[in-house]
Amino acid sequence: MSPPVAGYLIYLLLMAVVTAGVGAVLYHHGEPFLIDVFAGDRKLARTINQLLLAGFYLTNFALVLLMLRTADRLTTALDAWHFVAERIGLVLIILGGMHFFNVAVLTGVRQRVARKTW
Amino acid sequence: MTPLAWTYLVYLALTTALAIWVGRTLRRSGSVVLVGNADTDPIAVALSHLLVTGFYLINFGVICFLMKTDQSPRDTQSAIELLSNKVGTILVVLGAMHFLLVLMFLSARHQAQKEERETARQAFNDELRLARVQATEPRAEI
Repeated sequence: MSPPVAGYLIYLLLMAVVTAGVGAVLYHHGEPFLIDVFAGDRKLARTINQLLLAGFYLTNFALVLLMLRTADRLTTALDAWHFVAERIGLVLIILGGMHFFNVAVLTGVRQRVARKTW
Repeated sequence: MTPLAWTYLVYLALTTALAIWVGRTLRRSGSVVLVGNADTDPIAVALSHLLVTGFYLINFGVICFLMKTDQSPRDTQSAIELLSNKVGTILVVLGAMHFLLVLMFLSARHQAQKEERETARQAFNDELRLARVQATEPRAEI
């Protein structure tokens, strides 16, 4: 297999695994937090959780696919390795930033629900 | 294997182990900082898990992103120097992220305590109002 094909394949496979894993972790641990955010409304919390998970998968795959393109020629295995590492790193950093933003927004929602201004 | 391949492998092993260690420490103490009793409050556990997940995402992202180097170490000395440089950079990032997470935990704790005080004050005011109403009402039924 040529280095670009191998690089792209490894990149896509790894990102699929990471997306599924992180999505599962966020879904699992997000539920108690969301129930707290929406003042004990379990049904609403589960719905919002599912919506957030769908949004997470969509943005993640969009990011992964958009970042597949590279200006560098991947001629050696080392090039492919550098490419995979750099792209995965970038996607993970953006995901982490988005995740913290989500938690911050939901914390704000939680305070407004508690003050009954929601 | 070339010295560069060895450097990358050792770099990945070292930084991954360090990130996991810091993440576990943060999660363990995070739930305690948030409530004081990690076993009984599922929300504190969930919140600390969520924040630590973000910590892992950013850190593994930085570890992968900063891995690439233009140098090609030819002997053990230059490989060790390169490795130390790389691991040092990651340690600085880990330290900064660690302080950020501690700040987040503390601000969440502060918020929770403020809400607790507000609830207590509300309960006290209600009680006081009730007592006043009872004191001013004419006791016709006695």
